[in-house]
Amino acid sequence: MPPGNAPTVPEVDWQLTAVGGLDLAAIIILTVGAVGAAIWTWRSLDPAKSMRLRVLITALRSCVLCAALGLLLQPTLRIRHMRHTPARIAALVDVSGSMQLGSPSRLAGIEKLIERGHGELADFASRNEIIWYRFASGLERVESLERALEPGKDTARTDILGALIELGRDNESGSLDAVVVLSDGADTSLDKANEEAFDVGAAQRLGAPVNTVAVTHARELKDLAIESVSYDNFAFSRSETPLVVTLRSTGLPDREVEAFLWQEGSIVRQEKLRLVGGRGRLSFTIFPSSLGRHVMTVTVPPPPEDQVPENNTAHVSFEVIRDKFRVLHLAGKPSWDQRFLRQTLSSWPRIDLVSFYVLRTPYQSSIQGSAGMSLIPFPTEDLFEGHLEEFDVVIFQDFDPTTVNVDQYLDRIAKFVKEGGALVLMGGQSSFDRRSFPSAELAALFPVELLSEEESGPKLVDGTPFRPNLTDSGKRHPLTRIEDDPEKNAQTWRSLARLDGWTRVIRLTPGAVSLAEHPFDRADDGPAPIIAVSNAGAGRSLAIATDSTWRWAFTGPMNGGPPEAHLRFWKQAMSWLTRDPELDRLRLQVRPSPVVNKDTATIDVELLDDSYGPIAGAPISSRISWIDKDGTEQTELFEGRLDDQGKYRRTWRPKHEGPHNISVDAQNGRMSKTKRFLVLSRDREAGYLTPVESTLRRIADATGGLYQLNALSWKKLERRGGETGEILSRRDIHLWNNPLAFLFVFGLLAADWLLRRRIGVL
Amino acid sequence: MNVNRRNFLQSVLSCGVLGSMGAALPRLARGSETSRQTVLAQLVYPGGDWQPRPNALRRLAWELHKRTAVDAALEPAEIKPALRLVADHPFLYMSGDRPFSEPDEEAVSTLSRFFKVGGFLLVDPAVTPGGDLAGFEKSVDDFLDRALPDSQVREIRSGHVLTRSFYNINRVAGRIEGPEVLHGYQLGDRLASVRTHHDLGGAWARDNLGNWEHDVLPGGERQRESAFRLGINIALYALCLDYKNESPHRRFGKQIIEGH
Repeated sequence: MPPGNAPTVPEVDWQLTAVGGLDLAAIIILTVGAVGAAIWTWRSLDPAKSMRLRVLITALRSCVLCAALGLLLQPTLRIRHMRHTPARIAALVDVSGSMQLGSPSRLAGIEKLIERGHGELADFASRNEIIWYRFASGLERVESLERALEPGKDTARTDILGALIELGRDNESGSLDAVVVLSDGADTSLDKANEEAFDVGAAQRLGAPVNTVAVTHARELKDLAIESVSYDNFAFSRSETPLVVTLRSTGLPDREVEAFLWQEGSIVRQEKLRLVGGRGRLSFTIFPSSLGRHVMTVTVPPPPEDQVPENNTAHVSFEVIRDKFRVLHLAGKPSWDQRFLRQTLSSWPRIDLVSFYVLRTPYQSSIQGSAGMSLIPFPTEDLFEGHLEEFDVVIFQDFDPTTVNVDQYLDRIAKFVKEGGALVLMGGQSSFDRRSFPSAELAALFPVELLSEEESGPKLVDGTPFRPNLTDSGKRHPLTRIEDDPEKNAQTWRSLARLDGWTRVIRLTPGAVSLAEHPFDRADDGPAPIIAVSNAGAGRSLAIATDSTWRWAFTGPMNGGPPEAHLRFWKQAMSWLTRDPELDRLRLQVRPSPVVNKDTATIDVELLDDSYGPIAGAPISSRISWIDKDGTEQTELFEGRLDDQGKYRRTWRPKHEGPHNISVDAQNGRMSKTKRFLVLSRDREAGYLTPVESTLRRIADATGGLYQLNALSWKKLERRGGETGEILSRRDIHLWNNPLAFLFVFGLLAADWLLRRRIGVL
Repeated sequence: MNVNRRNFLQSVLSCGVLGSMGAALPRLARGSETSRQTVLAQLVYPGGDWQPRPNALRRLAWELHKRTAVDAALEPAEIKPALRLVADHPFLYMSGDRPFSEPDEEAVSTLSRFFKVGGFLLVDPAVTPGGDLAGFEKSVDDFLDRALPDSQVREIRSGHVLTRSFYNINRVAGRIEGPEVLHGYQLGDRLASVRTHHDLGGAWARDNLGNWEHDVLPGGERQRESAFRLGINIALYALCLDYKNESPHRRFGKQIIEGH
């Protein structure tokens, strides 16, 4: 079979034409006249004559009229010797994985189509230049059809548009007249959800019609498959998160199937579904609790006759973020500090605020009664015994728990903090008087050791206005990072409104860090802390030893100070208190996400100390684990040392697809972090057992090409400018300018005359 | 009439306000204790009469201090809008009984910023025998239209969180009975300003000998109590915003009303 060289043998072209010069209107008038004459002839005959005779006469007269009309048109036989101009046609054969699945495969289907039209192809190829290509993830030019039907190197992915773009580049010097793509239309370079977004612009830019031939299986494969799992790339913690699984079966009777959702080796959900018409959709609803990346696996056990069990497993990976910070705000009295904190927290949609403010002192309550008041009793039991764990942060703002019987729950609050909750202690006096917290367990979790009024010597609250200074830790710590840029941040802190006073404390508790301090007053262990933080078990605590941060929200902006400082401060505080992974001191990142099997992944580790300074040179160890095909856990260990910036980077090449765990230990196990990540195979072809004919139809429609389904006609292919050629010679044979033609007409007239005379109508 | 800073000071002098201002400044400068307290401040403006009920706000502060946990300063401050002192006082009280001079741009701009960052203004017209209430209302309208151009005016009726912020108030009242509604200037999800039509200051005012300065009509002392309750609710609203709209409060509040 010629592989596509341009033919040079001239062709003879026959054409019947009329050279009489009559225009269309004249021809129509003459034809109508002839028909009228024939009708008139029929009507003029005596009805008494036999029908046979009348038909014969009318037929003869009609023949005469036709012959006369034919002569007037001057029919001519035109014989042309011409050389056909060969078209440059690129033929692209899809050899991707999905084309090779099943028996017989779709690739075999293409071979069969070509074989069936072998003669037509030979003729077509003799007159046109066919350039053969095969494609999957990339495009490869080959010298023959036979080579085009051979699988190429990388068949794990199909990129139809990419192939067309490469085709354009490959033919920049000589323009193409047509393109024909033979494929199943399954472009696996796209997400299935984005098939609608398939951009045919790349095909249009070729400037030639792209004819497409969709090839489906002659016989359906027996297969039950997970066609897709739809989910968002991120989910909110403790919020409903649906994973919608679409199942499809081919070649199998509709049946009830069971799908499982796995996480960390355990089934977390299972659902049953009856397929109808070979399709079905089910939804797993989960409520992810932990923040960070989650990796889950959906499986549908393949039936015994399933020919492609590879597509019965799908992995999903998504990031869980916190949607709302649930904050319990307890204030000892209405004040501007409480009011502007409420205003700030309420303005941030991510805060879910529940507040209890002491609106009357116990003394006022005792003497005033409750008639006409809208006050409610503090639901301490309901709140602290039933709902405390639902909160992320508890704020004590100038709040003395002993006055409203909350002191009996302080141990419970301590447990809440140790187990991951967060506590904020805000001045003035009530929150910073040691007698307010008769729970040693809770007091030990505070970042500062509290005084009592009697112990204080000078007043517990000093009302001298001041502006706090950031400590070295405060300059680095995320909680005090009102601005991203450190210089600008320091400048912003210097421009904040002055505070109205501060509350004395004894000292920082062990492990606590002072972030902002009084410019000249001192505690026992150094400058008096104004903002201090500490880790408290799995939770965190923050102390703000002043009751006038409202100045940052009101007075500052009124006097031209930073307008967002108060909001930014609290946003940072909430993120740090609730252990936003972004603010972790041990940071671990695996990129890309997901990792592609057998490609290189980059692992980054960063370790910071309590004050968010780098820990240089510290040794770290890491362990990557996964479950292999046999269900055995595999691990890979590595060790390293942090650089001067407290960072460590290495690359790693996965060997197996599926969920993986990576854990990093630092400081002899005192700090550790575990993260899950997903390794996916590049080969997504098994998921495309159903051809995506719409893709090919859209390409053809957009470029003016011809779309054919399981058929291939080379002659019908659309090409740029239609079929063209060069005329070498031309000869006209005038059929009308011939004595025989006149004799034929004369003979007909004579027969007509004789017949009429014989029957006596002349 | 446009008023610049010089005109403003001249009119302040002509109105004899300087004495009051002088009295106010030492109070504010007195120190840390007062600055950490919740101070109610009266807005001083040129023209008209900015203080037709001189003892009203002091009395409200006292009642606030006595009845609630608010650490209210017993001496109110007196504040001119263009002065930096506004930045210390998120709660302003504005009274008057006659038209006042159109505030200059600086004053409007300061008050506009005051509202934006969270300040609250209580406008309480005084109904006095020689006053021009309509003129005062008109001046307030013009002023608030300029200082709160983006806010919506809405009626505050029984059921609004302001009527539940401390007392349950079914009918608003002051020295006069007035209409059943207050008017609020909504800015985002909070009221930036509330306007009464009931001469609350007239009901609150009490002289240094403990005598009520004005009769309360028609309800007498019961109505005066209502006026104090409304004043306290307004102050508590300014401090707690929509706190009472949170679901636990609505749930428990309903139980209390239903007697459970």
